[in-house]
Amino acid sequence: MTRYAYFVDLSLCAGCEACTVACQALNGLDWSIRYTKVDRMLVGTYPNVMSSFVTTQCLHCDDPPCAAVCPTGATYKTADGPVKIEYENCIGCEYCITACPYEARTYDAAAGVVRKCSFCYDRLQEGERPACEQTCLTGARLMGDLDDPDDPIHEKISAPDVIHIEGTSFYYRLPEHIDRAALPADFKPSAATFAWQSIIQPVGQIMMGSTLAAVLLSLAVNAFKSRGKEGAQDGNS
Amino acid sequence: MATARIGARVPAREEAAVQQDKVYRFSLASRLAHWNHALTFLLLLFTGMGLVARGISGLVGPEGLRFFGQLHRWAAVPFTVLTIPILFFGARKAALRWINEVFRFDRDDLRFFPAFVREFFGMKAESPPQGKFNAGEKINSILQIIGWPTMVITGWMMVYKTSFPPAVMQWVIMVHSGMAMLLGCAVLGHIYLATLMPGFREGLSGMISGWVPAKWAKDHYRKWYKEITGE
Ligand code: HEM
Ligand code: SF4
Ligand code: SF4
Repeated sequence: MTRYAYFVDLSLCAGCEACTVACQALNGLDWSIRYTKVDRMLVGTYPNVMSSFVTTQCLHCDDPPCAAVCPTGATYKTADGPVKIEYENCIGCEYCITACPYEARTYDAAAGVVRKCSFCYDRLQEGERPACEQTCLTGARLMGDLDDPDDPIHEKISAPDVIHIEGTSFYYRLPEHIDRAALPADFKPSAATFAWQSIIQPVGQIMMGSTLAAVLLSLAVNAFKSRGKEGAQDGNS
Repeated sequence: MATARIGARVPAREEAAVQQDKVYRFSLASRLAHWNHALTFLLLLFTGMGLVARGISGLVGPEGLRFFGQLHRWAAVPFTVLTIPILFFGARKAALRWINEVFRFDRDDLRFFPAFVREFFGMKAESPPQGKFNAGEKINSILQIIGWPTMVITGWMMVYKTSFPPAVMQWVIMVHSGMAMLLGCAVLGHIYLATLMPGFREGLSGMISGWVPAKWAKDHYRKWYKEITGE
């Protein structure tokens, strides 16, 4: 088995955005669409200002709500972990944008589809590595397979100051002066998703099923009764 | 001939027109409003269901589903803008009466339900006297009166999904689909009663020509029949 994960050492990130650009070039994206983003954080007050960078992209959640709401199955979680979009099947309904807690998705108006980082899943299948990781000038990025005990990612993420974004495939290491709040929050299913999946949807389905059953029963009973009546009339005449 | 003379009288108001064996139930404007609401609703329900039921989406494919999405938006326009103006300009009095009546339930209305259930499943039942709308129609009307603005508001918000915070849209989408299921149940029962169920399907002509058989009206809407005929 394979279980892909991604580690970013933000204490090494120089904020050069080479990853963003490499990704855009690889995926043929418009400049306005960035699968991986680099945000500058400023800490402290002048003149003691420290600057640092936080990179974000799709976190390839363990139980991705974007896939749960997708009406066509265009978005799905692969067995190896990455969450993928099959663009031919995407109808551009944007449900997934609403469901994603990490603002990882962008609507591409020209193509009429929603786009996001794919973990370079197609490249992984061919034995290559993600473009962002390959481009990173400072070696801040590392992709690996958690199910492979010899993968170098284990050494990186076992360090005590590495933060796992719970419920996702991402691990970060922060520079000392930046705190946890700068990173994406741990994954938490939304209350709306919970209410929908465990209350409204099952209740609605039971309701629709019983309405249909009641109508069919009534139809059968009344058809039977009227046949009986016709039969009686035939007998009389 | 007597019938011809009475028939020549144009039934302008739905309150009072009576012929020998027929009574006038719904004016042209009331019927137009009903059918605009009903037909656009059914189209919306069908194209909307395609987005939830994986079976339908698998059948029509992504291109088909995109087309459904477009149809859904187009059908939403007459659904949203036509019904109220038709009622306002064409059947103001009747519409106000309807709204007034359907929210009031008296003892006879409450006693309607057990009798209805028995009748629905083919058992003998004595239905209590009803007004212009029976208690079941009142429930259906209330669902439509609440459901219409709910679907319109949440629906148009969904057209501009990304202009609202995702946390808000998650609830909006849920309300839209939950209400669609509720209204879908109501319409299934409604169509069955109106087209197939003996004792109820006789009323369909009221929504087509406006007229219903007098005897049927007397049996099923005793209080209304008395109000318009004095009998
Ligand atoms: C009573 C009439 C209506 C019914 C029965 C209905 C039904 C539905 C259903 C079942 C869905 C799928 C929800 C889901 O995926 O969970 C849906 C989606 C949607 N509805 Fe409606 N709807 C109605 C009215 C409207 C109106 C008035 C609008 C206004 C424009 C609207 C706009 C939308 C939009 C934008 C979507 C999202 C799908 C997409 O973007 O293609 N709906 N509707
Ligand atoms: S980060 Fe967003 S787009 Fe990526 S898997 Fe999670 S919910 Fe889906
Ligand atoms: S926009 Fe595309 S990927 Fe997103 S939910 Fe709709 S069909 Fe699925």
